[in-house]
Amino acid sequence: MFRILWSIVIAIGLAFLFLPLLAVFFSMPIGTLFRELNTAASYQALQLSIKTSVSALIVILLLGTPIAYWLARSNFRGQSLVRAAVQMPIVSPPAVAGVGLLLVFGQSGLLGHAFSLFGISLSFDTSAVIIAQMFISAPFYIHAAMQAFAAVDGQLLTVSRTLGVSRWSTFWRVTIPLAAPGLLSGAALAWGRALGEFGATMMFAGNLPGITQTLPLAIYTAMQSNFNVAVAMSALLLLVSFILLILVYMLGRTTHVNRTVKKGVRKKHAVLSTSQITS
Amino acid sequence: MLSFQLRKSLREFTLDVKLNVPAHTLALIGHSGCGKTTLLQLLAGLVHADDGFIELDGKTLFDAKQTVMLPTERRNIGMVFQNYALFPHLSVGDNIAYGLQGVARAEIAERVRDVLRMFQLESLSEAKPNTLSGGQQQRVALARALVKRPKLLLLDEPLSALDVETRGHVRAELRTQLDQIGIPCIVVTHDYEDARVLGQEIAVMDRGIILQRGEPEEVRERPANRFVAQFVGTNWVADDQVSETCGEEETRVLSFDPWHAVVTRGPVSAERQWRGRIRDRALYGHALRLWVDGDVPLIADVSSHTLRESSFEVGEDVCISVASEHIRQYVTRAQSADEERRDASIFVRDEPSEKQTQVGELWRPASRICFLRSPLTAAVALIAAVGVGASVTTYSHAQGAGANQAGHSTTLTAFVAANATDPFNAIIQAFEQRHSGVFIQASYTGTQILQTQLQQGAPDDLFLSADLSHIAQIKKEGLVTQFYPVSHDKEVIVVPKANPAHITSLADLGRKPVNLIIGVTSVPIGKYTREIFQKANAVYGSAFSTDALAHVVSEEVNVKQILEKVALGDAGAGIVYQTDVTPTLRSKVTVIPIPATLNVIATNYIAVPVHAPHPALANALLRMMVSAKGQAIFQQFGYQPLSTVGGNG
Repeated sequence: MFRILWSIVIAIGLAFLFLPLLAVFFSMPIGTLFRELNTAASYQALQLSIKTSVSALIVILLLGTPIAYWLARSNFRGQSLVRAAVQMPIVSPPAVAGVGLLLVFGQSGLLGHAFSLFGISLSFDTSAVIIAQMFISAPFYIHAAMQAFAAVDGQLLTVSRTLGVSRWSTFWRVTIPLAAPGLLSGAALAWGRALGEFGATMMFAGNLPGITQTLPLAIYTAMQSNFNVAVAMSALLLLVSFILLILVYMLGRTTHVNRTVKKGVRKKHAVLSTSQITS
Repeated sequence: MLSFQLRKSLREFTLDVKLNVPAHTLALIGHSGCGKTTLLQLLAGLVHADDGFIELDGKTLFDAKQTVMLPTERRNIGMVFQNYALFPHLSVGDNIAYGLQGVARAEIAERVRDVLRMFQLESLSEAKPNTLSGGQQQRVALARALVKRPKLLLLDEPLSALDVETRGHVRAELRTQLDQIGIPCIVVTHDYEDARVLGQEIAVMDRGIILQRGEPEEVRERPANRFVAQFVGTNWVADDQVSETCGEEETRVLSFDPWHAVVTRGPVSAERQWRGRIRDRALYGHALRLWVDGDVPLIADVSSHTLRESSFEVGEDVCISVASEHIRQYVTRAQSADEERRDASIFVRDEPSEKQTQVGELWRPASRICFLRSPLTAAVALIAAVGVGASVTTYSHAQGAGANQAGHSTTLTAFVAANATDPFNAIIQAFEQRHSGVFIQASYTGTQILQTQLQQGAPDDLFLSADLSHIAQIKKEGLVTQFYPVSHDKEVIVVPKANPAHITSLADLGRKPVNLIIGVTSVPIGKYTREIFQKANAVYGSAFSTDALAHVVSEEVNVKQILEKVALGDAGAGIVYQTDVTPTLRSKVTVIPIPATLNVIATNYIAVPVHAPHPALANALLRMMVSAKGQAIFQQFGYQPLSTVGGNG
């Protein structure tokens, strides 16, 4: 009896999560879907979306990893304050984030004004899309990475140092391989969030095809004139996100942490094969 | 040879230890929290001492006076942790080889093979640590520390993670291994038995200072004070029966082993006897150990055959005596903790001059690493990094954009209210046909977002506003000098094809129960809808407006959302712009006109911002839109003809 109830609850939950997204695919015949999609505009938007979200992800990894490591490993006054502040973009409405970004990076903004003196304009440019995506999705990565780093036993890092390995090298040879699954899922989450980012991009970067019109913005624009195109593009966005997320998770599962170590470290760090050791 | 003197203030006491350890094993024992693990961390460089020095084989690892602090990774100290801390992602072989950096591959293989053989781990070289038993893990941890050929080996509670059965066996094994390595070795333990087996020498520690140091047997037989005696499990009594003192700082004491104590219920005729009450009892092998509280706390073992005759219970009063041949009498310095500290605070370095030569290459604490430790500076550094990274990106992008402009094409940017998406796309086509090499990019969004973006200095050539108030605001701020009406539109009622609420006219919205969806007041459609309702009050009765608004189930920010909800049948009726009902939507909704006398004309306005990058072309576009040709395109999409064309405001 309990089993049946259990399965029903799970089935209802899954249906709730899947059906709205599946509906996008079945609202029109596949042929129509493809015909509506087959426009330069949607390819352009897809291309831009992938380009910007991947760029955003790279910057997030570069900037977010040290922040996450610092938050996970150090102890200082006001640490929980910083941790909470880092999560703020998750809870702030995207339009608010967009306004905030304009106030900082806009041409009359805090930093934007200084940049504009050098002829650099960040807003309403492809880089603005990347910034908006970074701002919105970085907390997802930082949060996951922070937990992954915190879960790495500090004693392993200590023992590594007693074995004569520097902190930097220890980071690559111990911390990263052990935190890899968490980092990977954080990156996947952040990347997915960046791909679907709409509100802040619309506000901060504008809606210019080929420059700032990412797939979600193209969907919004298509809704103004042709609902079918909008649905078709939504299907495309879902499909692309789904495929890439699946790839990331598969990568996470098949990548043996060991291999990450070997790949991550170029110098020969004494990784031995069975034959060498037992011969 | 290790020699050090270290002082470090801890939370409850000050750690203050001076020791010389030759190439043998010193077992450091004390209760948990006595500072022994901290001492290991100080030696390994994991914790910074307040004062003192560490010298290993003539090399200075730490010297507070000369601010020398060699980092952990350069001290060449092997360390084995309580839980062994094996890298879970590496095999046994890789764990052992981990620290061998900058060593030739062949030599790594050979050295790893040697230690694998020494610790009988050959068959496990490919195994992952989590598949090993506690004893095996301990051997791997030891092998990993020793393969680096350290000058000093530190073991922190190496046996406490093992279960009782394997413990004895592993302990004996570890003793053999430690005897072979021939370097100074410090084993920290809280168990005297471990210390006795492992250490050639033991040091008893309490609250940060060493109370006694010596060979295990010597410490057990002649404990320096009561604490040591209790720790090693023997009896220590200040000999008050001996009246003469040997000096002010020295006390005559006697000690005897618990198995020589004789426990009786009544007094006996022995020379030395003490009375007391049994506080606790426990079985120790073949004997029952009793803890007796009296004038002096004592321990006594009762052998099991005595036990059968008379069992001693907790709370019983007993008499403990010992035969004089089992008593060890000796003199110990009555050393108080304060005196010990006074001693230790005189820091004298042996031969300090010779070490100067090595100091040059040593790491000093006041180096660049320190400032990165402050979170504030780190945060500033990160923000700076963001700034630099972003500017580099934009700069390269700006370069690229500049290259584009060098060609013959010009790109105009237009900010267009989303409701004008379709006609404006047609206008773009028409304009681009007439002006070759000119491309128009349009950003379609809500007017209020476009307004914000303009206020933030977005580079824009043309602004099409769906609302008078927004463009008027822009004008007030001096961002545009003049704006013009460009298109007229009117409102209609839309109902689903099935029309479940049977709406046939505007009047029905107030009369019949219907799920009505209108625009929110802040967007033009919402404002116009309310104006229409107000006007209708005069015709349909003064309650119409209130009644109709009472039927509203949702206020949307976007006309398209009103239309979609009506088309999907979620709403019984909605009020939208006529032009929004595209041919596709006409198959799903029915349009009900609003009487012209009650309708409100919705006007779109256009303007060229003063900072437009391409003002000439932008003005050409503006003129084209208000010309007959442009208006024809608007009418094609259902807009009303412009009755008057001219400046506004």
